Amino acid sequence: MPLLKNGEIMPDSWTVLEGDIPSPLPQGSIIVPFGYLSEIDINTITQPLGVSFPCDQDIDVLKPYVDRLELIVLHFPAFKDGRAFSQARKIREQLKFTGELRATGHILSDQYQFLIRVGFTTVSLPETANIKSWQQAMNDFTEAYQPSVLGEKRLSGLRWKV
Amino acid sequence: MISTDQNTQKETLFALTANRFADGRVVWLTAQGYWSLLLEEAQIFSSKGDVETAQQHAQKDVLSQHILDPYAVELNSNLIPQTTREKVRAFGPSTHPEFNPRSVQETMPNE
Amino acid sequence: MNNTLNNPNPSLAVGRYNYDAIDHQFLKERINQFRSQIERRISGELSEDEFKPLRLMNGVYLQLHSYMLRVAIPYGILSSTMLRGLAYVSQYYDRGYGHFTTRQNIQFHWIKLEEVPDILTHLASVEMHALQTSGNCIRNITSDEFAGLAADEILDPRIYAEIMRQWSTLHPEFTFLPRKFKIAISGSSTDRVAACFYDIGILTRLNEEQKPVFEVWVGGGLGRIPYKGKVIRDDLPPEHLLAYIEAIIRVYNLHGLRNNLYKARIKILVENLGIEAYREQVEKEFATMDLDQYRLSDELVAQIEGSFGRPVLENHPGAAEVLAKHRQQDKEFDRWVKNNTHPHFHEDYIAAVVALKEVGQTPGDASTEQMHALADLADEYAFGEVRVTHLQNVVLGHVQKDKLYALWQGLKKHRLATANLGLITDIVCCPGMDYCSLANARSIPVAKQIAALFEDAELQEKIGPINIGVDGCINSCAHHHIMNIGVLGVDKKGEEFYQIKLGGSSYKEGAAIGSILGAAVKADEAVKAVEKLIYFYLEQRQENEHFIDTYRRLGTAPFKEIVYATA
Ligand code: SF4
Repeated sequence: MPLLKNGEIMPDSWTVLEGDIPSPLPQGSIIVPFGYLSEIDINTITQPLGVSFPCDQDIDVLKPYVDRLELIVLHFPAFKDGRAFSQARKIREQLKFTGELRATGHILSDQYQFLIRVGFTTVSLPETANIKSWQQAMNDFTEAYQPSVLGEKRLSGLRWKV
Repeated sequence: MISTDQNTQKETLFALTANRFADGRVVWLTAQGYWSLLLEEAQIFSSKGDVETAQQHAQKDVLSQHILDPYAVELNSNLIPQTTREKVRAFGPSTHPEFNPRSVQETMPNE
Repeated sequence: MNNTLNNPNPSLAVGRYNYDAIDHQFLKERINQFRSQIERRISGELSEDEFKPLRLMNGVYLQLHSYMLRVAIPYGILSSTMLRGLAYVSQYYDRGYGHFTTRQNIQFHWIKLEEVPDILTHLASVEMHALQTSGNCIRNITSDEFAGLAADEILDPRIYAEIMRQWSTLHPEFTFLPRKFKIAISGSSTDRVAACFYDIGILTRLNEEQKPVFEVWVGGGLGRIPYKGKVIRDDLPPEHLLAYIEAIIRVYNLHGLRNNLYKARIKILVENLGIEAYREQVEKEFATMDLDQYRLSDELVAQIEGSFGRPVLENHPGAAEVLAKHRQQDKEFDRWVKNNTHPHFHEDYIAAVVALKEVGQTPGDASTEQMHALADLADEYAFGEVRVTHLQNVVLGHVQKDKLYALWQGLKKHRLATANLGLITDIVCCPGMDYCSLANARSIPVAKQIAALFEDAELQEKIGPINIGVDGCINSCAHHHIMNIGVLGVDKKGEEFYQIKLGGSSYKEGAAIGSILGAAVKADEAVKAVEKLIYFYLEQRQENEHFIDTYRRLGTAPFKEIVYATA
């Protein structure tokens, strides 16, 4: 699946592990389901580690692992389901996570700026996505009426430069 | 004004309706295959099966962004819709009789 | 309050925030975005399912006969220029009228999708938009129609409504909530906004130190399952308003039910968790927030306030006497003044309420010509400011008392001087099945028939204060749940039936949800039922008791018997 970062398609070096996790783990950077973290001793994993986190759980449970994670994937079961927007924000602001925050699922390009402003860094797109629309969407707005996790420059009053 | 007395007819007839994508107006499928603003120009189907077949065919007009959500409307033997909702759709808001599609001459935008 | 008298900037439209270049740029970008969304829809890149929420967030609905555009009137304030902009849209893009809703919006019912970007461009030129008038996002923020003129006001709620309007505009976190989210604010502790029936309702009071604080209600709502909200915090310092409501909405966004349309509003979550648990979660969230980033400092508030135009209220000695004389000379005017005015904190001014409820007309509708007339009269008599109310009427807020008679004569020429405010023919009515695709039954004809029964002005005054709401479905846009008499359209196999509810009341003091009187009946019987209820009340009332008090004294049973007793 194409991976979008800053409006550009990037190679995706991560392997997503689902269902039965093989042992030993495959080489390279891996994304495991959140449930797997409690089944193993995380200190035994030496390779780059990411986690796929469900949209219906409280992000506080990530706290014990967050320093060890390089990537967190959040899900949009439907583009109308905006829970991951709040999850992302909390992960950035409350867990102070600084690694890659990836959005996956059913997402519209019209949501791209929202994703970026709550802290997502990458979006996993379906093969059919119109990349042009996504690139255009990144510049839809040059200003916003509320602070975001990006610490943008305040223009005046309640307006921030995007 | 819409007549509220229900016709107690055995026979049920059907027409295929939709809203036009460009302006949302109520349209009816005609026998010639175009969509008309006027119920009186609609093709009348006498069986549920026939109108359902027409509804499937109409998917091409959905995919070409011409209409939205085609569905069958039941008519009585006077070719009047059975439900109040469909009467209002067919004849315009009861509070504005002048907006009955028969009295509003309009053309399709960009057509 | 003394602010109102100082530093008027005559170039600013009165009573509302005036846009600067940044605000104009934003709207331009938003319209361009929508234009390209329409193009992507036409090209097939977007399916109707994907496009629908996008158009809804720009106020575009598909109704029974056409697209409808709902335009926001933030905190209900229009300048005469804005009103003329609406008149223009009604004339050139619609069919010569607009419909004022119960949420300080105006709707145009005959819109072509492709023309929407042009309409929005025209509206943007008069500093208006249709943003977030629909969709599962934070909707238009409503306020008290007597804001900035009521004697009991502690702070001007419009400043804070504007702050919330800006903050909620394309909020990156809250544009895809479980359901729509409605906020109302009043600057006094008297509830004039039905605060306890909003997702968030805000009232203002003075704390022990005589500082203004907000009393925040959460989890109220109408619809299929009506709830009166609960107070989540009664001492919120205004500077933390944004942080606090952000915390409330974040908890809702994460935990609100999403799998059932009817259980997705915040009211259900608050009800399920209980207000204490909800409060605990909100406080926990609030505690983690960077409050500085959200703080509404004095400077920030002053800056927003500085973008509001202020009326220059001067002393006009003798104005009250002139008004008294006019009232004596003209009985018809006197009746209108008695029913349709509200006191102003400045004793030489008065607020005039224009009822869009002429018997025989659709409640809330205004023609192009009436919009122009109102704009002209507002310029002449009310500093160019027009307010729309949540009861589908219009207020001219600051009218010099000695000029009220001339204003009234001007209103009369345009059939805008109906003297029925708060009386039985001042019916609140949703568009119902004449327009609305969600409707079960028509509401306008029923409202008109009820109004026609009580056209006689003396009879209306004899009946006294009462409110009636007529809804075409359980969504309750006309608030039938919280009206003294509520009429609700229901569908029975394609036929229209109406349920009657009794005893609802909208405001904090005595707020109540009406009870169903009995089985649903057909339209003419529903109208007859209302007639019977009223005459029964007139028989039973003690002294000058209002309808609602007689109902409360007697209970539902005798009213039910009157309506359903078989002869
Ligand atoms: S109450 Fe129902 S019928 Fe009336 S406008 Fe609202 S959604 Fe439509």
